Amino acid sequence: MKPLTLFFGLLLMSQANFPFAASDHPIKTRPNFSLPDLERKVRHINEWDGKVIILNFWATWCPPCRKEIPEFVKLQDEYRNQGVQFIGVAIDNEQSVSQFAFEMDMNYPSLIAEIKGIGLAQQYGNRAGALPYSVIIDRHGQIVFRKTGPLSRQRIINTITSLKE
Amino acid sequence: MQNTKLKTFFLLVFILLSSLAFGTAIAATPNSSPSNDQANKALEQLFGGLNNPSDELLLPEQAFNLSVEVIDATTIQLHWAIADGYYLYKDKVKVELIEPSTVQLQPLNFPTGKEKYDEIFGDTLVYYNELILEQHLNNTKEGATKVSLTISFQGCADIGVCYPPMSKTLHLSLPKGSTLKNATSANQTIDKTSVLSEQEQIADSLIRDTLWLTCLTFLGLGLVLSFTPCVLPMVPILSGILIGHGHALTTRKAILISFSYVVAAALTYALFGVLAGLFGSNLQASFQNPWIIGSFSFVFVLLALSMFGIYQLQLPASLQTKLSKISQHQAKQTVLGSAVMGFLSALIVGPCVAAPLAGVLIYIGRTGDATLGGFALFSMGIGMGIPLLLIGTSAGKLLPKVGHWMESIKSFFGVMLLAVAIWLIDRIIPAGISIVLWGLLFVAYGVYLKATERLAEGASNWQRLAKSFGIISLLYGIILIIGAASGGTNPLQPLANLSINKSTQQNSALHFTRVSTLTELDTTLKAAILNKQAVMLDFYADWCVSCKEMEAFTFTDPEVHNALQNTLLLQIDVTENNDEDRAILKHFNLIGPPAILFFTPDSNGRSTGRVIGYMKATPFVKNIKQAIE
Repeated sequence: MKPLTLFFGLLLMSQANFPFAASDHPIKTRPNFSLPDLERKVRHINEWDGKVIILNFWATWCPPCRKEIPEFVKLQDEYRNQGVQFIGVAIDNEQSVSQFAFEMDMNYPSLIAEIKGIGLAQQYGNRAGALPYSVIIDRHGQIVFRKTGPLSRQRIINTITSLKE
Repeated sequence: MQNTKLKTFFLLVFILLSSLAFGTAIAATPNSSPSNDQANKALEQLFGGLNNPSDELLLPEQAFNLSVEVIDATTIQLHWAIADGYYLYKDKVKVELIEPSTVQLQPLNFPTGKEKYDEIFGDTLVYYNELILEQHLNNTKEGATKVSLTISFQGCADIGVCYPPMSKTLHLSLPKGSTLKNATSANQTIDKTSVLSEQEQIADSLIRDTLWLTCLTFLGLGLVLSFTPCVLPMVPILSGILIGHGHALTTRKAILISFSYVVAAALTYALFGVLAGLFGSNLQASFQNPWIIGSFSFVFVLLALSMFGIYQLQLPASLQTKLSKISQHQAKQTVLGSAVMGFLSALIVGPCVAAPLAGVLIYIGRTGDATLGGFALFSMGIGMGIPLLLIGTSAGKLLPKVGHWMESIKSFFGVMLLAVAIWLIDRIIPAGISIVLWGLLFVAYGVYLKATERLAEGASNWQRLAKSFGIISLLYGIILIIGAASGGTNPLQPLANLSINKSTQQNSALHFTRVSTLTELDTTLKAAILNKQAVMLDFYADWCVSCKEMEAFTFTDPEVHNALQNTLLLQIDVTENNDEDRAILKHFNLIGPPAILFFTPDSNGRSTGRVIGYMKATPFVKNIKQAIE
């Protein structure tokens, strides 16, 4: 009877619905892209190769996104010397972003992606397409952390500290 | 003895319940995962793993499900079903008319929403749970009218995320001035504007297609469960009812009674399934918390241990006899009576099959689908009842003998439970470590099946077969561990990182014609139109991981080859991302690879479908068919 059990077992395991199918392919290497900044200069992501990048997808119409940006501005100042670079990708138009960046004294680049930026966020692993969405990329271009929703100061510090060479 | 069993049982129930309660309490707070970073880091370096955060957020369509109904010639009802913890902004809801000009939209009357204070926007009005709006129209034209509308809306979730503005274009037909109801679901009439929703639609249909498959799986699972000693208490009960009938019992009646008994038990399980589906969807958020996932995983390890006979889960004997006494009183030789007993028996057996049942329920809870849960567990109940039906109709002649083989089945369930435990913590530990755990599980089961022991002289065929399976399990486990050491993260393709494997995969790759400029592409597309040939255009780059995944897993699939038989395959390599590359990407409004576009001879150079990002072979084939047929 034992082999019968095994037969059923293998049958069950081969059904796509059971635990084995749970692993999807995590994207590890950051996808390439280039987008215009607020000076309408096209910036390519590989410009910041070799730095620890905190890539933040946000928009001015998204209150939780707006809320966490002052903290990012502070952290950018504190960690600039250690090769940490924040980059904002705005799912928004230039006018709104420019106004907001001015009000907040944003000290890191804001790239304007408009609504098509959601596609880029998805390439970076944001399944639901919700904002804010942040990824942390190490010095070798590998995505080491992903988070949908607000990202705490402590979380950022923990991650970038662990990446220090 | 009985006492310790009882204690263990209640202890486990307590752990299970308290972890559930803990889960709901924490569900509302955003994920602030305590770090087991130190340990992870060391192993990450060893196995090259990556933290794999599970994205339990709902997709926009699930969070804000819009359906539209034409009430009469001048009224359209818009209905948003809004998921728990999600809300829509009042001032972001807009309805715009596209055509015809004979129709005018009247201003919307919004219900009173909930006031929500926002530091930046001040007081805003939002809607939770649902929003129902009636859009009234002035129709100057007589008779039936076709109307096109664009509905846009935007919302956020309480956990602190927002969704981008969504818009849906609807084509509706208004009836003549009668009150004819013309219900349409938004899903059928909406022009899916974004690529995302196109693909979501396919995902939905896949889930629907597999409902019967899931039921079949659970039927099998139930059948396997029925070979555990758990079902034994049901045998005397059923026999009891049947014998109660004495000589008046005909075979037909015996079948009828056994049947109602089994169906009632199955319905009881279906009830569990529905509850798990309903309850589970609320629990999904809590599954983001590593502590919850960790404790659930631990509960499963405990449940697995009971399957290996380390201790036993059972209702106390006194309660068991009481229930079976009640059931005998109930048994007034009626079909209804046996149904009541079926229900009671399901409860008696419940704790014994608690371990596998809990696994199944968690699985259903994760899908959050009450219908699926109901059907799946009903099938499982029926599966468990099949042997009982046989016993009932044969009046006990076919009773299985208790024996060692039942222990094998229990230990198999133990392994399945451990698998669930690994599957659960899979999302909070590095992929490399989870693949090692899978490996260890397979190795251990292989050894348990005596893969490493010498077969006794004159061993039976069954024993030989068992050893063969044991060796397969052992080998697979070893391969998984080797795969993990080589940086593999996919349990189904553990050796994908080893070069031998790669070269064999390339043999069955698709052969693309490379194009590099927009003009070249244009000429090729025109030639294809003349040849009446459909075209698939693949944007590729060396650094694009998903492109490589598509190449390795999707493009190698024979079904994909089949579907693309008569299609011209073009590829643009945008690795360099030079001006030409950017011009092409811009022309098609793409950000970059991975992206695949489809063209048909009569689409006039406009793409008829697109796939962005990695997609498995089966949905990809569906996409191909939709785009080029």
